[in-house]
Amino acid sequence: MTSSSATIRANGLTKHFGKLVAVSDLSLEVGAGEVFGFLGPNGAGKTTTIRMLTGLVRPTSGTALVAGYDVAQQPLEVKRRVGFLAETPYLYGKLTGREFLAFMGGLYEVAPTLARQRADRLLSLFELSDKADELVETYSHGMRQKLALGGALLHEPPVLFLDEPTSGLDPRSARLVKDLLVALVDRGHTVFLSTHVLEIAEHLCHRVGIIDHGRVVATGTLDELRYQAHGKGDSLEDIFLQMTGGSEERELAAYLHDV
Amino acid sequence: MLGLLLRQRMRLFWNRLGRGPRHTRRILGAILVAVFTIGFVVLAGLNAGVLVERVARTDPRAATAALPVLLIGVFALTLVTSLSSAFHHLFLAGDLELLLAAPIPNRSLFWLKVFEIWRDSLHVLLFQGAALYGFGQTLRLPGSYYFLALVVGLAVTLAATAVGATITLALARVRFGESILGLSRLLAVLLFLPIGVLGIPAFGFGRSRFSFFLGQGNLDAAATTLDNFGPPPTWAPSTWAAHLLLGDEAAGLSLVLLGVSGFAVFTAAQLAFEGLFEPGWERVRFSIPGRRGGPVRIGRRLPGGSPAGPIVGLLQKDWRTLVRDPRWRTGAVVSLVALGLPAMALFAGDPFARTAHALRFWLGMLPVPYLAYLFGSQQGAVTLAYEGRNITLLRAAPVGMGRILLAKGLGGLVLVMGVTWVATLALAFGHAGEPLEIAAALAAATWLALGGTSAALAGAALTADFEGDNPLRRVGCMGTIVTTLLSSLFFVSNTGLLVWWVTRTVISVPRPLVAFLPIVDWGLPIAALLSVAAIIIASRMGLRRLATWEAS
Repeated sequence: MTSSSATIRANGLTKHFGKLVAVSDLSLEVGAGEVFGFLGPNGAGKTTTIRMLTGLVRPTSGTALVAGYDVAQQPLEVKRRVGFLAETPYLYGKLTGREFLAFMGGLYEVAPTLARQRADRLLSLFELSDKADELVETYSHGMRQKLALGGALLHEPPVLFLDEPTSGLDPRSARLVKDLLVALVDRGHTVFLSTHVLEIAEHLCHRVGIIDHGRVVATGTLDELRYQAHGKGDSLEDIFLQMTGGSEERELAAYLHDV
Repeated sequence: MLGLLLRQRMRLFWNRLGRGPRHTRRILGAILVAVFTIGFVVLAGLNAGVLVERVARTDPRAATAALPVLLIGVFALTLVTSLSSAFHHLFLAGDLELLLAAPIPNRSLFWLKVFEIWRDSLHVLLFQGAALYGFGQTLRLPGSYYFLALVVGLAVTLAATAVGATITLALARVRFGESILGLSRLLAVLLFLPIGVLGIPAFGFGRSRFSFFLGQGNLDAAATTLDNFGPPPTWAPSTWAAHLLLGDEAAGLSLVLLGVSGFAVFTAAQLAFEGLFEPGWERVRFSIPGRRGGPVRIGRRLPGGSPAGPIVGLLQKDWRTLVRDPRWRTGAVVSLVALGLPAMALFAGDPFARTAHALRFWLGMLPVPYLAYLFGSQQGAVTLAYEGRNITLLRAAPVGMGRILLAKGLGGLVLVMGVTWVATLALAFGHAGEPLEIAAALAAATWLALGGTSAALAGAALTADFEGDNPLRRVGCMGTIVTTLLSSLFFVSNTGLLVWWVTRTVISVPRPLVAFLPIVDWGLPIAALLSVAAIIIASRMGLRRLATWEAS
């Protein structure tokens, strides 16, 4: 990964919420056409990092460039080039799926005719065409997740930030999302992916970053991470637990013991 | 972009009415709400016009002087409303993250938020429109007045909304997290209190007299008060607006001054939004602890431990939820201080001092039914409204919906009873009540609190939108109408019965009314029973709705 080809570049990114240090001195680079997996235990700072990189919250210090624009100085330019799927995406229950996508097209300044065409294509891809004209409040959780993903993809952004994209999806839909991400990356899109599903990170991501207590503890390919973990364990799960202390595993063991 | 956002809001409104299950019922409900609201507000506004007409007969100059006073009142009311709702729209609206992630210019987001906050003051705008219309009719003003009144009315309310939003944003800058709303609501109380207190003489309570009707003496007093204000200050935008509306020789200059000041207000508000909104949103959204601590400290003060059964558990959970939400805490304080305190202050003056003791005592208790009605309507169903979508979660528990509703009712009842008992005791001691009288008054207060709470609970169970974003607005217009109907029936009949009983006991009935005695003797108890039956029937219907309600 050379600096010149980086689509996402964070340098010393730090975020304080009062006395709480959510993210500390985070530096990373993600190249064009790369899927970057961002892993970490709950509360490690993944979502805050994504929020900073998408211009949603301002860094306390440090800089970040996304698609060549500074997130703090040119947030609108960054937002135009970014698709963002939140961990718990907000959908308007009283809009239909088609209306929601049309609204998202308007927000991201996609021409109405083009937005309609893309919306039809996305609805068909996500098998939502039959429900496209029904209110979102009648959708299942998985359908909502797919619609939200459709909203993030509608303006065909060069950079995608996805926070738990397969959350709540059935295996078929999860596979669909994975295939879609591969196809997008083949077309040169960059994907920054936060997930707890290590299998996805293992098979989909070109590189992985692990964050714990607001600090990046490791970045690299799976092989590089294995090396950093001193070869302890083969799977990403083993590496992850090694890097993050495996406290959750120990808690689970203690709980099962108590039960 | 702003057009897109506003069209989307319109679409949401239309879909809420016209799509989804039972949309015919929703449309009918909306028509009923519109008729009720517009009718109520227009009547109130036209009554203000009538008042102006009667003042004009006494002193034409005083009637003209009422115009800037009306505009100041409308500005203050809109400001109070916007201070109450700006916090939610600016910092807690569900779709903020989605909007902030999109490339929306700050200017569009600012105007969207102003529009959303302004929408909550629509009743003030309607009232103002009706009052200005009545004013124009009374003073036979030309057609251009009505057009200008519309423009000025919109500008005044929008400017007040922008000021309210700016104050909220500024408070978010200086204080962290949940303190913001408390401060803005406190400001709302301070702004509202003078209006409430100054408004009392207009209803005939001036000169220590008690009269529900506007006598000539009161009109003279109003005219004198307006006259005593003297000429309105030339520097005030309300004065410029009055000149413009009346089309006098200063109208042209006033138009220029209004344009410049309006531009300055909106530009300053927008600049404040651009500088303060994002830091404020971050602070509120991510609950940064303040210097005095956040919700954790409140939680530590509340009794803990495992609850003894589902009803106690629900009560404990509801109380924790309410106490930890600054919107509820400050809203309850606003209701009490802004609406209850003037009534208490009025009756603390002992307006029936010259009557017989029993009459003095019982009529001096009239703020109690008022408070039970007011607080019961506003807080009686708050625990149910806060439950929101989690109603389905409760239904999954092995507890009958009747017991759940009972727990919800108890939660509200404790609040309403607390207020009515404090008011009863304060007034009772103030009016030198006997122990037996005080006990009877407390029993009556309990009964009225129970009625007010039950009516509100039934109204909410029948109509609340449990998926609404803001828990304080889940009981919407339809719920307010149902609650008002049930409460009015209950309070009119039950308070009437009490007053009638006191009257029969203490004084002899005037001779012309003797013929009606049997009708009133029987009619009032029957009406009181019917009001209770109506609440029970509505509660049972609400119970059925809760038992089958499904979250989307």
